[in-house]
Amino acid sequence: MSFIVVQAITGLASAASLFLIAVGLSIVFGVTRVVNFAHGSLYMLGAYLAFSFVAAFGDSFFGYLAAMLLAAIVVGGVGAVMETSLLRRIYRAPELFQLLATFGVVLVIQDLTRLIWGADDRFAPRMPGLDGSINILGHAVPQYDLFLISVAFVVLGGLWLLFRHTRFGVLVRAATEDREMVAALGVDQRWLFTGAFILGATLAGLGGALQIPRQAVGLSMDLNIIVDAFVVVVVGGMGSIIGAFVAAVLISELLAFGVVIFPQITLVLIFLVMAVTLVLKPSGLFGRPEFTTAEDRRNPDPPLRAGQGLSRIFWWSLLVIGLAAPLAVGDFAVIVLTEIAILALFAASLHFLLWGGGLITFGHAAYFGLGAYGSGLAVFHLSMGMAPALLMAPLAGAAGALLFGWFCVRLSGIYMAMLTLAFAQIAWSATFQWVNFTGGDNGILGIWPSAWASDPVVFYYLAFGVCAAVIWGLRHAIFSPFGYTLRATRDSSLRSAAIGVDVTRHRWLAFTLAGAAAGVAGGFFAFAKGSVFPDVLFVSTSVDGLVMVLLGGMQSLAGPILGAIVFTEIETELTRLTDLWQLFLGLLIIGLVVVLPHGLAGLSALIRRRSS
Amino acid sequence: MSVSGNVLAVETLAKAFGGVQAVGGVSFHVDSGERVALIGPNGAGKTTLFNCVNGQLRPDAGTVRIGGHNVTGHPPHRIWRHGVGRTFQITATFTSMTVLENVQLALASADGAATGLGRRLGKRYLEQAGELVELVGLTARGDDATVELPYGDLKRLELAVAMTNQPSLLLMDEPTAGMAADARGSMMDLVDLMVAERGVAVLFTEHDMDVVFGHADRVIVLDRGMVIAEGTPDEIRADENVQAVYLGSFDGDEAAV
Repeated sequence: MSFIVVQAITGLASAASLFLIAVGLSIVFGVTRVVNFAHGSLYMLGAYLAFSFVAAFGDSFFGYLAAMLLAAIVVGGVGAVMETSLLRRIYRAPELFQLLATFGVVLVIQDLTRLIWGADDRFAPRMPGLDGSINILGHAVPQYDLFLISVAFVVLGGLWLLFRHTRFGVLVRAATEDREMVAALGVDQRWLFTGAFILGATLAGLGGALQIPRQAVGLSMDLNIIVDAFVVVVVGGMGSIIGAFVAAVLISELLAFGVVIFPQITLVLIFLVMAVTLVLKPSGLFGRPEFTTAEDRRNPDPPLRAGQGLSRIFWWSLLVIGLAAPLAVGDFAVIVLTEIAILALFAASLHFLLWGGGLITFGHAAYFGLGAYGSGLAVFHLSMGMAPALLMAPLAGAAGALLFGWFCVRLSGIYMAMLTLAFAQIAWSATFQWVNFTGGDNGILGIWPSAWASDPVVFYYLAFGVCAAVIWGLRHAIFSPFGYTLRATRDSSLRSAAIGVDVTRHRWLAFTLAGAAAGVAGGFFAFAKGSVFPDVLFVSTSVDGLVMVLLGGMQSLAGPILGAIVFTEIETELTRLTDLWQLFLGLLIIGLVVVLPHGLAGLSALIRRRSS
Repeated sequence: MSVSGNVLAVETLAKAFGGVQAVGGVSFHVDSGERVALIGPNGAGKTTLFNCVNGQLRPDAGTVRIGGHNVTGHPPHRIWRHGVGRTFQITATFTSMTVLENVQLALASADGAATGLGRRLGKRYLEQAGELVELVGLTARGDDATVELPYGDLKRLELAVAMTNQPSLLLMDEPTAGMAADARGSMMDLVDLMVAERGVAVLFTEHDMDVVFGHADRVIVLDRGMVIAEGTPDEIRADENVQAVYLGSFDGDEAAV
C-alpha cells in the first residue's frame, strides 16, 4: 500500500512538468491552430538558461527560485520574437508547412544551444532547502518532487483564474471555441496570438527550468519532451487545459507503475492508451471534434497530364544520367549516387501520400527504418543472404504501415501528423530499448552486400535499378484507378463516398503501399551503409524526406526526385565544410516555407510573377 | 400499392441531436420512375432526413430500405452500391481532375475497379464517360479542369457522376440551389430526361416552389420533424396545413412589417 502511494507521488512529479509543457502547447494551438514543434526547444532553452542563472546566483533557495523564474521569462521573450517574426507569416499556411517551419526552429535552436553551452550534458546542483527527502509511510520521497507537484497545481489554479477572470483569458477561451467569432467582434487578433504564444512559451520555459534539479540538461531534451507532449495533447484533446492535466497525470502514472510491473513494455502501454483513446474518441478525452469544412478549394491542383514535353525529357534524361554517371565519376561519388537513388525512392513514397492522398505524415521514417531493420535483422538473426534480406524490407515496411496506418488514416490534418510522428518515435524508442533483438544504440553491423554485388558500382546499379523501378511503379499507380481514387479522397471525401469509395480503407491501402515502397528504400540503405542504427527511424529522417519533397515541389511528380538530388548534394557538401548543418537546414526549411512554398519547381513561376 | 415498386421505403425514421428531435418517426416511400419532392420550412428536418437516407447520419430508430434491402445505418459508399446516385447542395467534385476524369473514375468505381493498379484510368471507360458527359451537355468541356467550370456546369457534372452506377434512385439535395432562375429550369429538364430515358426515381429537397410544383409527381411536406402533408402538387397547394405552415407564418411576418 505504502509503495503504491510513493510510486503515485513519483508519477505525479513527472506529470507536473509534462503538464506545464503540454498545456502551453495546447493553449497556443487552441488560439492560433498551429502545433508548435519548437515548443520542446523552448523547454530545453528554459533548462539551459536556468542552469546558467543558477550557476550565477542560485546558491540560496530564493536565488534558485529567481533563476528558474527568470529563465521562464526570458523564454517567454524568445517566444515573442518567434511569434512576431515567423509564426505570423504562416498562420494561413497548410498544417504541414506550419509543422515544418516550427521544426526548422527546432534545428536552429539545437545548433545555437550547442554553440553556446556545448554538446556535453550539464548538471545543476540540487535546489537549496529542497534537497532532502520526506518520510512518507516509511519511504523516502524527495522534497523537490512534492514542490514540483505543488507548482503544477499553482499553475493550474493560476490558469483557471486567468481564463475565468481576465479579459485576456476570456478572449483566449473564446478564440479556442470560435476563431471567426472573435475576429468578427473586432478583437485585435495579433495581440491575442502574441499573448497566447508568450504564455505558452513561458510555461514551456518554466517546465524546463523546473527540471534541472531532477535531470541532466542535454541537447536531446527538446525532441524527447515534445513527443511526450504530443501524446498528452492528442490523448487529452487539443486546446483543452483540463485535458492536458488529466492526460499528463494518466500517462505519467501509467509509466510510473508500468516501469514496476512491465518494465519492458512501457512504450507499448503508451501506444495502447493513445490507440484506444483515438479509436473511441478521435478528438481526445476533453477535445471537441474539429468541424473542418472538409474540402479545401483554395489551391486545387491542375489535372495530371502524363508524359508530355518537358516532363518526358526530365524522366528520360534522369534515366540516362543515372545509368551513365558511375562511368564518369570516382568511388566517393558512386556512394553518394547510391544514396541519392535510395532517398529519391523514400521521398517519392512520401510524396505519394502527401500529395496523392493529402495525408500529412510526419513519421514516414518509421517505414524506411522498418525496412532497414527488416533487412538488417534478417541478416543478423537469420543469416539471410542479400537478396532474400532485401525482400524482407518491403514486408517489414508494409507490416508497420498496416498496423500504424489503421489508426492514422482515421484522423486528419494536424491530428494525423502528430499521430504518425508519435508512432514513428515509438518505433524508434523500441529499437533503442529492445537491445537483445535490435542491438539498441549499438545498432546492427556487418550488413554487407553479397560478393557479386560488393563492388560499389555493381551495388549502385542494383540499387538504382530497383529504386527506379519502384519509383516508376509509384508513378504508374498515380495514373492508375488506384491513384485517381486516392486523389479523389483528397479532393472530396464526400464525393468519394458518394461514388462508392470506402475512403478510410483506400487511405489505409495507400498508406501500406507507401510503407512498402519506403521499406524497399530502407533495405537498400542498410546494405549501402553496412549497418543499421535507430537513427533511421528518428524524426529527423522523416523531416529530411519532407524537406526533399518540399524542395523539389509538392505539385510535381518529378519534385521528390529533384528534391532528393539537391538535398543530398547540399548535405554532402555542407557537412564537409561546417558542423552547423542543422542550423543551415533549419534556416533552409523556414526559408522554403515562407518564401518558396512551391519548391524549386515553383521557382520559375515565382520569377515570372516577380518580373512581370 | 405494390411493395416491389418501392425504390425507397422509409419507416418510422427518427433522429435526435442532443435533446432536439430533428426527425420524429417519418415514413414515406418513392416508387420507381417517380419524382418526389421533400419540402418544409427551415429546420423542418429535411436535411437530417436526407442524410439518414444516404448514410451520412445513422438514424436512432426506424428503417431505410432501398430496392427491398435494409440499408439502415449503412455508410454512404455502401448505399451507393445499392444503386443510389447523389448530388449535393454545394457541389462536390474532384477539383484536380478534368470533367471526363470525374466521370471515368465514378465508372471505374461502379465497375469495382477503383482500387485497381492496372491500366491508366485516362484510357478507360472513355466511351461511356463521353456518353454521360454528352447527356448532360458538357461535351465541349470534357477535357477542361473541373475548377474552370461555372457553377451550373458543376451541377450538371455532378448529375453525370451520379448516373454512372445506373441508379434506380437519385438523391438530390437542392438540385438548383445557387443557380440563376433560367438555369434552374434547364437543370430540372435534365433531371426529367433522366427519369424518362433511364427510368430513375428522384427524391429531392428544394426551396424554389416553381421547381417543386413544376417537376415533382408527389410532394412530401415536413414540419418540425413530422410529415404534415403528402400528395400531388395540386393537393399540396390546396392543403390547409401546408398553407398554415408556409403561408400563415409568411402572412404573419408580412402583417408584422
